Amino acid sequence: MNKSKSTLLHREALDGWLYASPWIIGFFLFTLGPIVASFVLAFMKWDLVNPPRWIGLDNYLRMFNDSVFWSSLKVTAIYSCFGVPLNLFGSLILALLCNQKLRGIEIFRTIYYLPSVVSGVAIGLLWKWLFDPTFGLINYLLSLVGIEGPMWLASETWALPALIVMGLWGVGGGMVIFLAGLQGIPLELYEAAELDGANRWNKFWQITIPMLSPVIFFNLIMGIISSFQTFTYAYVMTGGGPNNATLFYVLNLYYNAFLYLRMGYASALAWFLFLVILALTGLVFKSSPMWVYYESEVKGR
Amino acid sequence: MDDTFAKTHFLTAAQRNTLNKLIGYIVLTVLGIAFFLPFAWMLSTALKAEGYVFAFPPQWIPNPVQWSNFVECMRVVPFGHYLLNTALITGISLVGMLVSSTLVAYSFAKLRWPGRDIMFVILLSTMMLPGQVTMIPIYIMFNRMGWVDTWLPLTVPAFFGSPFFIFLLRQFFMSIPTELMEAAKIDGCSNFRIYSNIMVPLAKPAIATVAILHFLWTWNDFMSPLLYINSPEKYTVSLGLQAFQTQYTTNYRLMMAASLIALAPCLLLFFFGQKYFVQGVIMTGIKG
Amino acid sequence: MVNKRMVSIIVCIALLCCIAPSVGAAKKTITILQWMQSPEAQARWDKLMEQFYELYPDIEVKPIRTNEYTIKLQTMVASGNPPDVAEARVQWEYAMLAPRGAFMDLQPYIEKSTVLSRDYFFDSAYDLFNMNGAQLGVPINANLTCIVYNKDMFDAEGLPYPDETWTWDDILQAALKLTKDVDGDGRVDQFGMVVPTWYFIHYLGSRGINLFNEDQTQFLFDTPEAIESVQWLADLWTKHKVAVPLAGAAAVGERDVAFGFESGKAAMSLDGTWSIADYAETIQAFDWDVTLLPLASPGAPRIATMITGSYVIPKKAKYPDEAWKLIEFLLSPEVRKGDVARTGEVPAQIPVANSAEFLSNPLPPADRTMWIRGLESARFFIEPVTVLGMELNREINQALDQVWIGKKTAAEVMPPLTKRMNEELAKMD
Repeated sequence: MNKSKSTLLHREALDGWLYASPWIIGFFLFTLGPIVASFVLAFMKWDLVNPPRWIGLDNYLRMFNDSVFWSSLKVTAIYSCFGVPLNLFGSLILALLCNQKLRGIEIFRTIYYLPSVVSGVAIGLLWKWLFDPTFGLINYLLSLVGIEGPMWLASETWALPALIVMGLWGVGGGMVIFLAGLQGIPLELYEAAELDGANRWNKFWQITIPMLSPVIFFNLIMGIISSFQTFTYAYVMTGGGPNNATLFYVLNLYYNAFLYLRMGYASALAWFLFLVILALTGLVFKSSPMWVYYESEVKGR
Repeated sequence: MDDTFAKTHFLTAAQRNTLNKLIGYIVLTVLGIAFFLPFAWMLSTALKAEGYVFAFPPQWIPNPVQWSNFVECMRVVPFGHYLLNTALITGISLVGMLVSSTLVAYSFAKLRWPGRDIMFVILLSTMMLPGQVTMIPIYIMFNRMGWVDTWLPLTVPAFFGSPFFIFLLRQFFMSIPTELMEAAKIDGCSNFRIYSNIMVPLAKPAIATVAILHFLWTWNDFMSPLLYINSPEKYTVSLGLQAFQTQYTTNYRLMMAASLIALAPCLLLFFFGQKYFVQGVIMTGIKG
Repeated sequence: MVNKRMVSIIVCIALLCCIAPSVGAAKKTITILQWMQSPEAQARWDKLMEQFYELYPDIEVKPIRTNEYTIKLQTMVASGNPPDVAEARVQWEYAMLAPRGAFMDLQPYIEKSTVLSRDYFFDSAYDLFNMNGAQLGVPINANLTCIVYNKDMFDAEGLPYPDETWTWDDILQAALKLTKDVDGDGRVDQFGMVVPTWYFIHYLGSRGINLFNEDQTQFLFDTPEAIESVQWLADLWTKHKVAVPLAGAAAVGERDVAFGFESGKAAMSLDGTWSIADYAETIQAFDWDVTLLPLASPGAPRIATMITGSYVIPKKAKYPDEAWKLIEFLLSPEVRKGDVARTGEVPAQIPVANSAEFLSNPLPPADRTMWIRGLESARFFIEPVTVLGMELNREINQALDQVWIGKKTAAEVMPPLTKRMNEELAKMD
């Protein structure tokens, strides 16, 4: 080492900016403008047809007096409370199952990933059949054990649980990421633990989980973000009904933007949701030193 | 896990192994059936004759089996052309995405620079604003740039990395021990050489995952092509699939047959590509 | 050297001069946003355009086709770069964009036109696109509501087929007989009818119930007739149990009516002429036919309702004059007669509906003058969405969900709902 430490750090800072620059440049070129536009629109009234008009805080004030806003927030919160952990555990369990060395495991992995890529139309129609109260498979199976199944998507009580179950079908994406994470765990760790007499549970909790924690962290953060932005299934399957029981936050936002043509109000809704997600993910970030284990963290300056 | 586990326990290794495998297969199969249903429905619809599509409950094994649907759907739509377009768009954006996302992620994970943590928070924040409200501003921007009805909006942004993949790769890079880096530095390696010779090879499973996910998402993307592409000769496969629908009618059997053709490259890629993210480099000999 | 350069410059200028006039007289390219079309329809479009270019050699038409019509149109309008010609369905794009002034008033064009005039169209369809005296669209089609029925099921019960003399009560009586457990497992597996929930508008319309007062300042959804009618419809599920049970709000949208009727689970479907061509192609397992919506009571006047689409010219269109020429061409009797001979649509143009091409179209019903009778009895009928807008319309539908699933009665839901709507209505002007 013939260079002084400060030149090295200077060099590193320069390289850091340089290597991050593709994203930073892209951010200023393509991302920042539309984000600022939506931020400004949140203080305006815009129907997509006539020029936007400044109305100050009206959109935000309106939001807090809007019962639909509150109910959509509640629906989304309930969905996320169940959906995020279920999806996280579901994809982790699938990844563990698929990490076994079994003949033909490649086929199973592909099958589990299938719902993430097959056509939305096929998925929509199939779920409609599964949940159909009269002709559906689920209620048929329930009737075999003497239970009269609910109306599912037509029921205010059961529509949301049905959508949570549907959401579980998309765990293939999380599974793939977990699988990649599992490959990074050195086998020696398990071998060493076995010599110390560790059983399956010990190894899972003391090696797999900590070593996988950076990926769990990733899937948790992304799970929170995507779950609060849930839209597609409700849009296709229930349209937010019955009686707004599945009107998710972003579905309401979408309706405001593209059905009621209130882009300003929709933007205000979006920025409020942004703050909610930011706060929640911020909490997870704050908690991460307690449970996320990095081989060695390089602190920024 | 099960293989190594079996060695230390009282059942004979062979017995234990067989039992584990059996349980494994049973669980995998039961779950597999549930996950296979939508694909099975697509397949059976794609093979049905007109008039049999709406049998309810679904008729899983079509009778008669109509293979000609696959030929017919290719006749309705210039599918080969769309496949080529989609492959080009996906391929171009994939290269850009991989190069920039790995480099940016490396910078965020392993280099110290002023402003890094703030920039990282901004990076994550860009994913938290619902896309529904930036969609029209983005369209207006591309429209002013004269990019509407070109492939540029579908490919160029990828060259500047995607927050999702940067975050994912950062997580993986961060689990690579810093000692390796320090050692390389002492040997006089530049930061770029550390990136290209140590980080990228060690993160192969993660990079393969990113490549596959990006491929599948771009391949199947519907919304961006819908907004930005107007001319049929520039269509992607997902836009081409619309041709089986008109205002009042949907031809499900042809649509599903065409969807399966569109899906085939994805399935093949996933099936054969998984060895890169599952049996990738196992980082032995690093720890301790 | 200098000379050579001079020569080349002169040549260049000369070349430019040759090109310039042709650039100046370049074709005007207009865009039209269309729904996706079948390959046959696309081939026909190309042929039509050849005819159009003969008439107007200086215009070039570029179609943009999509099935996500609404969002594509909205995005293009919002960006200030709309298509020159668009289609607007009365309850969708028109209801959203017309009140906000997105479309041009076509009245000046219509007055000058030798092809299109008010008399050329059925009044009920034409007037739907008139807003405060401005004619914002010209109707393409006039798709009538109707009842589609499974002839095999009626035959099996020995029941006569529904016809134009039937009342709603006759329909209910038939539905009661047609609802049954065919395979004997204790569960009903054949239903009398499929009813999409949004159909209540048309049911009320066919009974002659006005939802608004004359000047559209009062929403009349709490009259005894309106409440009774909504309850009658809800009873089909909750009391008589003759309607295929609801599977979910979006799941009873337009397309999914098919789950009941196309799959042979229901004897009748409250439907519209827009479905007929599709049924003709997809239903092969049984015989079916179609008739107009029933009468309110024996001998009552027939009232038909419709869902129609129109051509509009967005305000920021680059070439409105050329756009109008295209609309004139597309709605001319010759072109429309060719359309209706091929598709199941019902035209909004009187001479086209009376043409041999339309009447001899092989799609059901055998006697296609039925549609002309329907069109003549169709009445200018205001839907809530037209006056109240998309958001309040959605609120009405969500509130009515409770009635359809039997959680509340129409009498409980509709008076407070009407009160709220009238409060909102008062705020509007």
